Amino acid sequence: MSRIGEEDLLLSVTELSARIRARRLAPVELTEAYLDRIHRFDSKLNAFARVTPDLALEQARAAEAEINRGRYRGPLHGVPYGAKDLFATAGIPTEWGAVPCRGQVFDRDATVVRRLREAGAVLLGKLAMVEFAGGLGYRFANASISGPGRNPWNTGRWTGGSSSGSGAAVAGGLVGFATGTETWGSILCPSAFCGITGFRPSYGRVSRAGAMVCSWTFDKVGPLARSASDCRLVLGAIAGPDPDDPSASAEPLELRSRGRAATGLKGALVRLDFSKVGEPEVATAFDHAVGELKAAGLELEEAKLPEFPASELAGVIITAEALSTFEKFYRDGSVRELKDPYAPYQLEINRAMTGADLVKAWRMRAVLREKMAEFFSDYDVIVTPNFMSVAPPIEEDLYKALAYSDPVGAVGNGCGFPAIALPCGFGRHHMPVGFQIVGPPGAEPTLLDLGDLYQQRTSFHRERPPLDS
Amino acid sequence: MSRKVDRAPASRRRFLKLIAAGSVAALAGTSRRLAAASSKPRARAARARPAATPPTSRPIPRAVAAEIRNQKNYVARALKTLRDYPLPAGSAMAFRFDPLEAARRGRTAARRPKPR
Repeated sequence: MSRIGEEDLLLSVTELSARIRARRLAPVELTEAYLDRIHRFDSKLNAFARVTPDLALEQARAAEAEINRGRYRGPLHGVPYGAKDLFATAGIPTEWGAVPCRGQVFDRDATVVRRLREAGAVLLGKLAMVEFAGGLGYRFANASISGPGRNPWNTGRWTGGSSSGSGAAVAGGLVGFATGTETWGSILCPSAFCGITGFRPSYGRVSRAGAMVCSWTFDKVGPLARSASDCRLVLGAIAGPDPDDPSASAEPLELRSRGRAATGLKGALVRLDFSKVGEPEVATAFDHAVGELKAAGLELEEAKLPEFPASELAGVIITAEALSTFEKFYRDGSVRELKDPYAPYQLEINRAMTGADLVKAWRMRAVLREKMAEFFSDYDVIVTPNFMSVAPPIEEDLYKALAYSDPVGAVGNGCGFPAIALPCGFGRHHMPVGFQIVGPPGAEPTLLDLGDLYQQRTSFHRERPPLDS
Repeated sequence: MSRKVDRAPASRRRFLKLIAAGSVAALAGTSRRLAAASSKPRARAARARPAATPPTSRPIPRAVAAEIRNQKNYVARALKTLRDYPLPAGSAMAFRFDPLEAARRGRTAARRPKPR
């Protein structure tokens, strides 16, 4: 074991990069220490689909040599990370969490992987995920080629999904940061359950070229990390237009922290009804977070989202797009190899959906967008709980354990809104609890500033799971 | 199809299973013929996917069938909600269609799809 302590591996990217830049931390030594920690703990967590030690050390040596020559690329230079196993990596299997894709290899990197390589980040490996990012549904945590994602706070509990390995690896200190994707909840859910900070950018903010398609019009790529500041650094490296992805936005993004107070911002406080579902401890933690934001100067006003069947329209569009993108696996029968017992029947289950239904959902999506534009004329952001309960046990039926609606998730993903997931305490069984701040498209700087501000006043993002004990 | 199988009388269920088994055999026969007629790599590919049968051609466990019914009911409720939502006829288009870009060096016209 190197002289790098375990506590160093749980530092934020901001702290790691400051030490690397000052040459107090060598990328090769840091990478070796992460690989050692992965070796010790990954069998407990199922965080990695594949570790790439040779590539990691090669990239770390290159980073170290460059930094020693005085060529510092930026804050991710020499920082080890993991990529969700739906981002293509040239020559390294990319299995989308699904048995039918075992051994699948692409010949070029996804844009996100390439951009992180160009920023000098070190790829430790591919992170486990729910099969097909949950595009064909899943009922149990074990719906993955890697087995269930185990939560570092309690390995008998789930990490959340579909970016399960990203959540576990960041919380467990197996990587400096991770990449994930969200169609509906796949960044925010593991962030909440694992007690980490996740960022879902606006639709189109980050290129999806080379990433598995779950739903063309819902998929977003974003970071999972140990602080809002870290998410800012990673987003800065991966965002931007891309000729390989026509949906990637060319809108300029000024991510530099404005270090501003929340004064002058007005938030809509959207409460969820915990009287019949969810856990009261989560509501209490959320109330404390609201108190902190108010104390920081954010004006918060109780508000309700416009009455609209957003969940139904999101469900119809995502399902139709997912059934189309994964059609091949129905055609060749390999859908039966998936772990979820109901995935093979999704074509049949959704047989009643017509083309007219899909077009109607699309037309309603335009109405929802107009209604939310009006809503955001009164508010800068929405503050609301993330999940209403803590991470369920691994073997639990997720249909029952998470049997509550997600109105803000439906609206946020339906409209392509950015959101930040922030840890705000602990609930039952001392499992992490989180909340979210959502903004209109392009609100990334505001959300990150508010995240920074909240985390300057709290220490939940610095809490570490008892993995070593 | 799964719901029909589950709710049908026993004799009908047996009949559907026979049909399903027959279709598996037919597919297997077709793949063997294709394999024989094609090159070796293709034959290997055919053998590598013996599960190339429709999902509903195998008997469905009772619990799974019940859950499929639940999910179908959920889809039906969601579709009813969408269908009941009032929208004016011919409201604004929700997504954009991009026509072909302007012709460059006179070659685009030759590639333009024929009207159907």
